[in-house]
Parts: sequence; C-alpha cells; structure tokens
Amino acid sequence: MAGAILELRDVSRHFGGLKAVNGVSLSIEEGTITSLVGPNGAGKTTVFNLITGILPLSSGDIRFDGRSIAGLPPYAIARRGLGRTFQDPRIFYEMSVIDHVVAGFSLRGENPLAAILRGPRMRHETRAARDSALRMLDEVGLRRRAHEKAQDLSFGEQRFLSILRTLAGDPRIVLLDEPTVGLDRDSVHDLTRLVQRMAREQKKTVLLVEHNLDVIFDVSDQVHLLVGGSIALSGEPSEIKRHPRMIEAYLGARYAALRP
Amino acid sequence: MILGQYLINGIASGAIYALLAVGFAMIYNTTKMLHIAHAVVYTGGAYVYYTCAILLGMGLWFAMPFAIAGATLLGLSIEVGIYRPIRRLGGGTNSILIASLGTISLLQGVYAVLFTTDTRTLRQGPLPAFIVGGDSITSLHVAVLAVVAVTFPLLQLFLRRSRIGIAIRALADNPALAEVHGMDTRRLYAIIMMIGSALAGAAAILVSLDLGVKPDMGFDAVFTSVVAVVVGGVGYLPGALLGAFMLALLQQLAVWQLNSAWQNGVVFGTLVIFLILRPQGVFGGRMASRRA
Amino acid sequence: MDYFVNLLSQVCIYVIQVATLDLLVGYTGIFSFGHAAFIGIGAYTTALLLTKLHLGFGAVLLGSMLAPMALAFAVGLPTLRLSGDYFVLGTIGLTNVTASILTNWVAVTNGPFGIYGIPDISLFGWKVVTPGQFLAVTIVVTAVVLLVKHLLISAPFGLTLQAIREDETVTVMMGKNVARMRAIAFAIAGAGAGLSGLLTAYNLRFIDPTLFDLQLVIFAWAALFVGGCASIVGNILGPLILVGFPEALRFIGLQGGAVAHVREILYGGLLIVMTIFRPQGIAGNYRIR
Repeated sequence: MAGAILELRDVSRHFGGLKAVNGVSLSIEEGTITSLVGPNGAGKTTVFNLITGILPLSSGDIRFDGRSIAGLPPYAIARRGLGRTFQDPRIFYEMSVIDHVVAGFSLRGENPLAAILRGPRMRHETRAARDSALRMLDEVGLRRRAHEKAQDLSFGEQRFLSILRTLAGDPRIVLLDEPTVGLDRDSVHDLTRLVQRMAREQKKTVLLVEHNLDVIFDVSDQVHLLVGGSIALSGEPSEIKRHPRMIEAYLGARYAALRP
Repeated sequence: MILGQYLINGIASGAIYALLAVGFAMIYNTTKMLHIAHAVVYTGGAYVYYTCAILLGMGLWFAMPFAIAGATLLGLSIEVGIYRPIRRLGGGTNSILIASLGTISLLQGVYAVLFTTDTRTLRQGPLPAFIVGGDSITSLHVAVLAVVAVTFPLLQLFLRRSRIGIAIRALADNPALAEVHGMDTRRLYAIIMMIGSALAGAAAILVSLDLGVKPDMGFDAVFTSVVAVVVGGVGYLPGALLGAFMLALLQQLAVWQLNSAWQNGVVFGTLVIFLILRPQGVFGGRMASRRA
Repeated sequence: MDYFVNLLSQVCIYVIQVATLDLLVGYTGIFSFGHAAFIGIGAYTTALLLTKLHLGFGAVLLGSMLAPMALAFAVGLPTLRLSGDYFVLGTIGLTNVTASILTNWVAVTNGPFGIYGIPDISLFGWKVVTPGQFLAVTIVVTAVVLLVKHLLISAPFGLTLQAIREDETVTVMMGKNVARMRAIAFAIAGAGAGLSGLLTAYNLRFIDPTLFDLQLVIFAWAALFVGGCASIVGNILGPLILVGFPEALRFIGLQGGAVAHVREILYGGLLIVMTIFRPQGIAGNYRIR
C-alpha cells in the first residue's frame, strides 16, 4: 500500500510445532498510531521481536519504507529508524538519568578516536546533546532528577525514561510494548499525551501493544486484534469497539453472546 | 605396540578427567556457579591424602577415606564460608566467580607455604602391571577405570531414584520452581558441593599415587575437565564423560605426534573449536534439556 | 632508595594493567581473565624487537601495542559473541595457552629461559639509565594511559560502553553496534596491556613466561576489586595497597621464599573478602553483581 512506512507481509514464526505468529499481514501509515491488542500469549510481543530483528522470520517479509528488513541484524534495523521499548523499563541501573538520554543519541563522540581527540565539532555536538536531553527530561518532569541514578526513580518515572531513551535516537517508528503497565492514572494520562505528541507534533509513527482498552480507543488511528498468532479483526476504534470478536477476546464467548 | 600404550594412558587419564568433569558439571548445572576453585579442592584432597598416608603414617589404603572426606569438607567450607555469604549479601554468579578465583590463589599459596612447591610423592618404584602385547597396563590404570565404572552408575542411580537426587535434577531444570516447591536450596547446594568435591577427592587419590602432589596440580586438570563438559554438552552429565575421554585421547595423540608440551594447546584448541562451531557441545541443544 | 624507586615504577605498571582491565570489566562488563596474555605478548614483542631485531624505541612502542591489539581482534571477535561463562572460560584458556606457547616455542621465545639483555630505553639520543629516570618515563606513560582512559569514558563512547554493560539487548535496540563496540574496547584494553608489557620488559631487563600467567590475572583482578571498578582513583589505590601491604610485611620481618606465597594468599584472601563484604571496592563506582 502506498505511503505505508511499515508493512508486514504474511509474517510467520514457528517454534517447533507451535505457530506463535501465523500469516500476519499489516500495513502502517506514517504518522499514525496503531495498536496491537489481544489476549495474553496471542503473539503480540513476538511480532515486536520479529519487526526489530531479535527473532528471525520463519516466513514472510517485513518492509520498512519499502525496503525489506527481514534478516538484518537488530542494530541495523534500529539504525534505520525503528525504536522499541520493552514491557519492563529495563533502565540502566547504574547510570544517571541524563546519561540515559544522551546515550540514546547517535554522536560523533562514540568513535574512540573522536573521543580522544575531542575536536570542536565533537565537543559542540556532545554539549548540544546534553542540552537536548535536559529539554526532553523537562517535558516529562524529570529535569530536576537528571543527575540521580536511574535506579532511584519510581517505576513510572523509569518507564518514561526508557521511552525518552528511545526517542533520543529520533526514530521514525516507535514500538511501545505495554507502556501503561504499572502506571497510575495520572501517569497513564501523561503517557497518552506523550504518545499523541509523538505522532501529531513530531510526525512519528507509533505502534503500541496494549491491554488498557481505554488508552487504545482514545489514542489509536487503527486497531488490530491478534488472537492465537493471527489477526482476527482490524479497524478504527469506533468500528471495532463493540465488535463481538473483540468482546469475546477480552471477556470470553459468553459475554460476546450477550451483546446484541 | 606403541599406539596401544598411548591408548591405555589416554583411557586412564580420561577416567580422571571424567571424575572431575562430572563433579564440576553437577555443580554448574544445578547452581550455575562457575566453581573454578574445584581445582584447589582437588589439590586439597591430594594433600590430605599425602598428610594422612605419609606424614601421619596411615599408609596408602587407610588414608583414602580421609582424603575423600578432606576434599568433601573443603568443598563444603568454600560453599558455606564464601559462596553462601556472597549470595546472602546480594551477590550473583559473577561475584562468586571472582571469589572462586581468589580462592584458587589463596589455597595454592597455603599449600605452598605448608608443603613447599616440591612435588610430594607417595610411593616409589614401578607399579605392578600386566604386559599385554608390549603395552603395560598398571594396577593404577585398572584402579582408575574401576573407580569410574563403579561411581558413575551409582551416581546415576542416586540422581534418578533417591529423593535428594531427584530434587537436584529439579533444581537443574528449573531453579525458581524448585524453590517454590519448598525445596531447601541451601541444603541442596551443600550436598551438591559435597558430592562434586568427593569425586574430586577420589581423582586426587589416583593421580597423586601416580604423579605425586604439588600446589598447582589442580588447575590444568580441572580446566581440561571443564572443557570436557563443554565438549560433551553443558547440562548433560554423560556428555561430560564422553568429553573427558575424547580430550584425554586427543592429548595422547598430541604427545605421540608432536610433543608433550602441546597437551595444553590441544585442550584449548578443542575449546575454541567447540565454542565457535558448536558451543552446545556434542549432546547439547534440545536433547540435553538440562539434566543434572 | 633505588629499591623504593623500582617499587614505584612497578606500581605504575600495575596501575596501567588495572586501568585497562577496568575499561573491560568496570565499563563494558567484559569479564576478561586473559589480560596476562596481552601483557605477555607486549613484553615479548618488545624484548624480541630489541634483542633480535635491534629496533628503536618508536618501533618497539608501536609493536608492543599493535601485537596485542591484533591478538585481541583475532580472539575477541569470535569469543565476545559467547555468553558470559563461555567467554570467561575462553579467556582463561587464552592466558593458559599463551603462557604455554611462550614456554614451549623455544625457537622464538627462548622457552623457559626467557629473554635476557633488554637494553635501556633510548629516545632521540637520551638514554634512560637510572631507576629514577625510568620512574619518570613510567609515570609519564601511566599518566597518558589514564588520561586516554578518562577521555574515552567521559565521552559518548564511554556512555555506550556502560549501556552495553547494563543491558546489551536494549543497547542494540538503540541502534548501537554492540559487537563492534565490545571488540573495540577489547582491542584498546589489549593495546594498553601491551604497553605495560613493554614497560615490564624495560624495567626488569629480563622476561620469562612465568611472569605472564594466571597469577598475574589474579593480581590484576584483586587490585581492581580492592580499588573499585569504574574509578581511576580506584585503579591507582588498588595496586598501591596490594604492593604496599606485602612490602610493609617484609619490613616487619617476613622473609624468604615464603613471601611470594604469602602474597598469593593475601591477594586471594583480599579478593574473597572484597567480593563478600565490599564488592564496590574502596573507591569504585560500579558494583559487580
């Protein structure tokens, strides 16, 4: 489909006899927010692992900006502009908050020679990165904790930090794996607004795996229901919100039968 | 036939490595600790044997159970005195590895201070031997094989039939679940260490009768045994046996065709080949499924 | 007084060894027990280039760093991919085998007899003859190494290494080529270790394989641990304490051949005690788990 920034074409992943992901095809438009929902074990995180290259495809293809990324090493896929967070914030415990964000940038100073020689461009770039990092931290209210160790943050703060770390790399697509888990209501609200800003203001494409249906229906442009490794249902939130298959997936067949 | 002698030597040293390898593998599979200090537990067993047999005059036979007891106690002390406190204070397997390294240095130094670096011998003169087709099979060769032939089936029986043995295998398979099921992991760790150390003690007796005792005798032997575990496949105990014999024969091949200096190189070369081409070892991968 | 000056030079050499090991362990999370191999290669390259090929200081300087770097790349690229325990095993094997080759390849290394007659440092006509002059050179080299280390770790390069140490998968997801970075860190540390080998060769005027075995690795780890990881101050404190303590004992009367073994006991004991009670060392910024 034209304009699609990410395309999954008949993607499958087998583990022995088990088909964790079975013939999944989807197409994601740039700048949209797409949600992947479904019961536990449906294969949602596996899809993420396939897109990011952590798991190899058993069959099918994945295209980013029209070019196939299947088989590329994960770091190469990430470099093309694909960022990803994990269900667990997985922060760097021993590093300071601001260092997390700075580490996310792609900088000249990562080259050992540049680090030793410290030319004016390297120094300028590094300083600019630190300033950007502080600004990003400010936007989520973490600026005053910039020099604390990440392990001293609350769980919710760590969650936001892990997202900032990913955003620092300026990815074009951001994959967020269950970002609202463990967050209180205010933080969920903040996260929702952050996701919306990513898409509307920064023109990023967001792919979410989520269980929190309120968030999903609030924020998504498209929703895909994944059940048993296949897509059971796709559509806009308003269309599928009340769809019997959706209700069945989350509440079971009895409830689905109850709905007219 | 000269080849025959190398074969015999290879099988005998393979049996020694097997005793060490299986002990080490048991400990590693269940506790995930890279207990490289196994080397100085082994050496400690040899020194206890020497002390009891020669210095205290018990003689070669009566001293044997003391040697095994000594090694067992030493291994247990390391577990209880060093590894357990590390775990209790939040350390993980990396910290334990470093402490294990330190233990090697500590005990080798102690042995050197107590006994000097000279090799202590336990007997003089040639061993009684059969001569078969020009090759000599000594009583020690026979003893080593006999020990292995007896201990391994016993060990397997223990692991499969006894309650503790089954608990040990459960621990190797799934430590979190084992803990939840109320198994006392501390006690199991202690028992595992004792069994592994006892096997090392047995190996120490056999080797010291042949080559004597010196402070650094443990390291090469245990390193070779660890490579044997890798070769056989981590997680599969009989694989360690196979790896041990394979390496021993390879070493004898090197001695025969090159010279004895290459023994270490052969072991390291095998390690490198396996790590690069087949890190799961011969029997590793799905088949192993983490049996203790 | 000469004795004390020589001791200080030795401490500086150890500081280089510990600081380079720290780059691997404390910053990148690479548990290398192979440091002795790189130090030994550096020392032997130095000794051979000087005694057999009669090359000058510049060539020797280069050689002592390039040879271990080449080894680090050759060995590092395949082994760094391995999971932790296997990598540890591989590096222990590396130390063993290097010591073995140095001992047995008699044609090149003169085997267990070692290499004698290493001349003084000769730089642009200046000869470094007295222990005091050698100490001056050594301090300068050590300072340069520490400076380079500081520049590396305070730059984004250092941040990426720490990220790798903390969580490799996440760092990959950040678009970093983790495998390459680890190989680079390994090679840089190897080059630094080789430099300490060069200084060792010039310092002792004579080297043999027993200088570069697992005992050296254990010493370096003990010094690293006592001083503390990820800390330049720690890198300096560790060797100072580990060398100073036995010297103090010697002062109060401990004599003879037992001293070497008492050192082994001391280093091993310190390593054990530090891992149990104070894994971050005296001045460390990172605690090994």
